[in-house]
Amino acid sequence: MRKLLFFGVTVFFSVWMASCKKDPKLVEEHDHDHDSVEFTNDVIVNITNVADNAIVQVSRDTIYTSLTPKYITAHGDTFSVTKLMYYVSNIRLKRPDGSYYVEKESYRLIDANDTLNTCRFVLKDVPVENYIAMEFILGVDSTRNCSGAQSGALNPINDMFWSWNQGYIFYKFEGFTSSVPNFGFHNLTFHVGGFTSPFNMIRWINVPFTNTSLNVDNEHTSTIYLKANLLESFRTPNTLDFVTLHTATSPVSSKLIVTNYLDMFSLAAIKH
Amino acid sequence: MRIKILVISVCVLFTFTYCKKDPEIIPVVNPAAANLYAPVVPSGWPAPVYNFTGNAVTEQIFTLGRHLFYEPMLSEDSSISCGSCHQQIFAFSNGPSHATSHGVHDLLGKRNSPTLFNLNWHNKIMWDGAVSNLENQPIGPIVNPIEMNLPYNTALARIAASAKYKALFKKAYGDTVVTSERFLKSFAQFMGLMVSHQSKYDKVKKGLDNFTASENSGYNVFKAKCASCHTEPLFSDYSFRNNGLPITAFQDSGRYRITFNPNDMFKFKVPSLRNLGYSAPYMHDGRFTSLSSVLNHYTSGVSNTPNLDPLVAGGITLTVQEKNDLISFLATLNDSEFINDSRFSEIH
Repeated sequence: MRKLLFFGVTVFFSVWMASCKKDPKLVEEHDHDHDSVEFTNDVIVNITNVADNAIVQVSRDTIYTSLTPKYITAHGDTFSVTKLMYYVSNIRLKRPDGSYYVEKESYRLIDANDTLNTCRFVLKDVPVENYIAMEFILGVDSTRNCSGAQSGALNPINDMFWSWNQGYIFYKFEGFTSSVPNFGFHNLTFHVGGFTSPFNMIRWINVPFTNTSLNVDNEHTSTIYLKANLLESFRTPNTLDFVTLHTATSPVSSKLIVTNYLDMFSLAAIKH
Repeated sequence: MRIKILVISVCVLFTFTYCKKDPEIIPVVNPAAANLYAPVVPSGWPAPVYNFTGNAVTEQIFTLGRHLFYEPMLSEDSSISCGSCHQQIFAFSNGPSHATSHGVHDLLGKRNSPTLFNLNWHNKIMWDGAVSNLENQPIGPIVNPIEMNLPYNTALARIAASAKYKALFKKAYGDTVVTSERFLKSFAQFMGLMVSHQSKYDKVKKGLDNFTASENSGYNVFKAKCASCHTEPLFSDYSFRNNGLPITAFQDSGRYRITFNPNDMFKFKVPSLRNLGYSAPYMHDGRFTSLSSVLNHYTSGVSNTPNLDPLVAGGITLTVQEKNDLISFLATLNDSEFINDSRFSEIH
């Protein structure tokens, strides 16, 4: 009887394993093991996407007219969010003397619709020191825009790669507003990209740790809590009016967004 | 007796250890066959831009790329493959009956399918330089609505679900896992090995052949009047220039479409003069069907449009004799070995 049970269990597992292997779904290698924390001198980064005081919720409704606009811009346009994705790359932590700890192979794709897997990540094995700011490129550096086939966050299947005029989309916001006519599709489209002059959209984001600091030691795992305020991308210095600008996909029009989103990121807290 | 056995054992053991430790001593049965898949940089050529870094060429990966190149599944309705608009007999362009490319549902493109050879030397790929790295190039035509019109994820999923490609991926990469990186790199191996360097011109340069009198005169005309843009040995400097084509109703802005720089308006990549005998019609929109009409453009058709290249402003002076000699010389750039190379032919 026992033998039979053992046999049954073995068969079950073999079939189960085989069915896993046969699955034709695309398997992707991960460069970063985002969730495992092995060393206390790892630093966790937690990004919360907000619209001022509200947490951004991504609506996946297919009939956009049925969406209730949730947020309001400085100009007074109400809107809801159907997509918010962006690259955080080349992360570096600033020391008090102005030098940096630079993370290697630092490319992450943040998706506001997948907070669990993308908005919390680990900077592995950060040197035991104090840091006064975090800096990163909101987008992808020009080298990787011109490099060959990429995997992980930079895999072109992530829908953040322009197939003609090739290069990465650095920042993608799509939404629905009742301020402009519905086109039967999301009617707000802001796609930022481009890495060559005169329309180089690569921008460094600087998040100073005002009135606090990140103290990496061998006893505590620290967490940096960042806020990304979507409303800042429509607010200053260019107060955007959705009636005049609801689609920005060329480098010419996306320059306005880029200038605006420089102050989109701020520190919420550091916990040790 | 015991000692004998011991000696033999030691010898056998030693031989085994030796073999295991040094796999390089296994003789290559056919070195010529192995070299067929080695990247080619002909002597005297500049260093290539794409040099297979992180993408070591093997026959199996190359062969996977060859199958993908001729795979109609990569188009929406499985009607066309890359090879449909890039045919080997036309030096991997679309042939004389297609001024511009044809996509799914009989949709007509706006540009002439460019030839594919010596791509490793292009700084930027495509007529307008839209692509910065050879490995990512296939994504463009696969997803383009007027070309193959297939979402990139769908293309990869179709390949991943195919028994044929499971076998080809296993041969190439050791397992059946289809990733974008593997897919693109195998394409790059197939396209990157397309090196055209065995024309009569190349043989003359190596001292293996001689130009006729007319070809030689044509070569001198070429060096005096064409070589500043169509630089040897690739016969292009792969820069972007406006060669004064009259602007058509479609108003293709060329390089400007990519850079949004007004100084790039109406500029297109200088095409190589190699294999012109196979790759008519000419220019980015295939407007000229013969080489004599191309030369007539340069002598009397140059239009003073924005960003006109100073080298062709006012036209190039060529006598009838010079034109004939030039056409004789250009024929020496046809590489019949390349267009008949069985490594690149259609496969299913």
